[in-house]
Amino acid sequence: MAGPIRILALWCPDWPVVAWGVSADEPAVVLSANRVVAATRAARSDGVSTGLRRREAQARCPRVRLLDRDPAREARAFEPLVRALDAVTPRVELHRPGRASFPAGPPARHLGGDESLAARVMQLVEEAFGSASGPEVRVGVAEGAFAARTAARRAVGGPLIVRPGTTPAFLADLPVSQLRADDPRREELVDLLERLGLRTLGAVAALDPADMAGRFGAQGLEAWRLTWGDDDVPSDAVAPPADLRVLAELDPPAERVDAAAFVVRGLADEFHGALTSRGLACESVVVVAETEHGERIERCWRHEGILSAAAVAQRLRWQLEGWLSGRGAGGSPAHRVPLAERLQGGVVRLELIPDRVVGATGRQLGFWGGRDSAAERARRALARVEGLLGADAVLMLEPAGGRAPGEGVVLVAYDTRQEHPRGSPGAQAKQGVFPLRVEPWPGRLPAPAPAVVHDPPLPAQVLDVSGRRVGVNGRGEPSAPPMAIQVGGVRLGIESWAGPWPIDERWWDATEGRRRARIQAVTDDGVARLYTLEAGAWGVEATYD
Amino acid sequence: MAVAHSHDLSLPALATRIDDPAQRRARVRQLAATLAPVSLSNERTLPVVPALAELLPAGGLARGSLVSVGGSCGAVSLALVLTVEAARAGSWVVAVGLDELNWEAALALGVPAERVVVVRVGERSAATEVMAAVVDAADVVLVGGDVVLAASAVRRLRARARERGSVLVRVQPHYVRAVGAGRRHGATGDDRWDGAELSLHAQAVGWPGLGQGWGHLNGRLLEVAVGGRRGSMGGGQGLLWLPDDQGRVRPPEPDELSRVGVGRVEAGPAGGERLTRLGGHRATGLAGGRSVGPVVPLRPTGTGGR
Repeated sequence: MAGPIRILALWCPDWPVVAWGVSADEPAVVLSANRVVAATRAARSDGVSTGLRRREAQARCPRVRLLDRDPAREARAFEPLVRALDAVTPRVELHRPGRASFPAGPPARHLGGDESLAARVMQLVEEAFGSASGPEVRVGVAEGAFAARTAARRAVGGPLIVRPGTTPAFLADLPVSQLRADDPRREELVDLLERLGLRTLGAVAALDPADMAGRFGAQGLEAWRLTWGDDDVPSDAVAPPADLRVLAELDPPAERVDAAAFVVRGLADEFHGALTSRGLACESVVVVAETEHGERIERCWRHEGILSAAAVAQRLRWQLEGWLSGRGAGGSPAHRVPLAERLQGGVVRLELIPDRVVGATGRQLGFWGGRDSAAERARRALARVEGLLGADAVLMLEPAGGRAPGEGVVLVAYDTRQEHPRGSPGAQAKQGVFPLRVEPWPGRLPAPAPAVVHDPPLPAQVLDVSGRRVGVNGRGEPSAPPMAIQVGGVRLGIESWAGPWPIDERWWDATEGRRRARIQAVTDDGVARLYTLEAGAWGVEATYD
Repeated sequence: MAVAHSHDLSLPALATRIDDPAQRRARVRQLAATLAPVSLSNERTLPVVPALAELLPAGGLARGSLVSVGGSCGAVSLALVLTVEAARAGSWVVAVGLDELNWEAALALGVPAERVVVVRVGERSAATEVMAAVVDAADVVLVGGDVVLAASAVRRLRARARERGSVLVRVQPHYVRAVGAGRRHGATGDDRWDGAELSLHAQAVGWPGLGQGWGHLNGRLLEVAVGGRRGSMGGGQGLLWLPDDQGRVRPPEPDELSRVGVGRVEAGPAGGERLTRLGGHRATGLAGGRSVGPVVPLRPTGTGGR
């Protein structure tokens, strides 16, 4: 059996923040679901690290700029780099924006060795970004994709090339946490391995694979295989039958990503359906687009594990973002994409070709429908809803912090929660309920929380006994006791009330600072509401419905 | 859930004779539960918190049914609290078209965050397909006022829910209309959702903690009326802290009512209890005084609340 092939992996650290075009010297972080997913060097030097909550990050680095995660922008910004790599290889595989790899063998032979190839790649990357001071790019070459990615992560200050045949030795001394760095889903496994005293990949590699399989199942066996650098081509990969490709004609041609979005989802579902009907699953997929000018480009995306329909659709969207960048409604791309790098004209044809296919192991549902089947059924049905409404319309709850009603929970996209399960290995999920008041927010409203929050507040008037608007002075005192509320032509008498409670938030920040005053009142329709005075205007902020 | 018991059936337990008939019957019931592959959907219920179970005729949410929750104030919280026990027991809860809902309140009432999915339908018109998919996904579906469906679509949806055994909870909140268009109690007319198996009507009758310029709300006393096609058999009505000052959901003690200025409980005409409303501080004499009758039956006599 041929050994694992040599792979060149390319890794841009903190791509989500780089894609925003933020300089490394400016402290900035990208947040997803209230957690830091990427940070600039300046922010890291202040102690910010991935996985921190927003509040902690702000505490460690008060001047930090907060950015939202924007996968479309990341894909757009990464595309020029991938195009540049086309000069050395036709077989670039993308894992996600910021990470790519390709077989190093043929181009290295052509260029005269791994060193020359790595140097050439660095040069191409520099050209793609237009200057030597572009974002940091790390390059590693080793046997097997996992080893190559690991090498790339450690390639600070120049490409790291692992000599042929020395990959297991290279991996042996590394901490077992590299497994987690490569795929966050291995968090629980790594945690267990560390607690068992297996701290290096070498220690894991020395185990009997039967023990790993027996103790940790398929995941353990896979990890064991990785520690030997043996990961790239699974032994059961088969050549996909030709009729598994799916294509869609776009008429009129799609000039913007949102115009093609509807097709994307259907195409991904069709692709996935065709595979599953044959009992197959796909590890990497080639996305092909043809434009109205006859231009044809293709790109290979792979995934650590099996691509679900949603993951295929996500990659297809990312790719379209990259190709159609600069025209989308998503604002200006971080790195200016030269015209020649973009597709000319609209996309008329999209095609998905399975690249590497394995037999689907699938999941056996509970015999009479156990709890697993409920979760599985929910997952499937919600994927359908995502297809209908878009991924941003299906959300899950994430407890957060905040003072105003409604700020205690943020809604995060369901599919990101599926991909990145929360923090420590299922610990919170095991507790059943997320801790709600771990960090008290001074100044927040006492319980009960209003069940309905109006955003923006409904316009209203709070009136005193003579029908004048109630004001609140700088000391937080009302000009007169409020006696009635005027809302949309209806006048409601106030039966009991409390406040005003002045809130002066972020007073140090000229743009985000807010001064408000709230009163709680029960009106004679029997409804308790929260009224807010901001900038001289009252509004109904929340209803205790 | 039946499968979950299987490991309890260790062989020694079966091998030894059980002489106590009560134990034997319990054992047989346990075995039957383990072996029964299906049960008819209308025979199954989803659990609710004990305070509500007392009020509901089935003691829970009958699978496959439509529950309509409305009322002048408190309907949203009541709908949320209906889902708590089911979600804790592993059911998924999907909320559609409740964009203004404050999920912080839901978590505070005990809804487990990891079992809730929020679907925003917004302006998009795929509501029919979305609802069909959502009914497949979840045991409890909260349907907000923003979901507009044709009458035929509602019928199909209910049929699907019956088949799947999910509970549709139609939340007809009053808050926007009460403020916006000046419509008052219960005027949330969307008759396409009529004919619910169970309908709950919530009215806030007490807001303890709030004074005249002092204090803060620390609880909410709801009067919940149970009706609907199945509910009418029970016809229950009762008072409920949702929540009380400790964040719990429970029926109030009689002496608490006078303390919060809501009313007092007296012996009713036929041995039942009656709640007498007090005027309380509602005498400020401003416009729009509420026309609530002075005496409201608290626990009906005769048919019994449950």
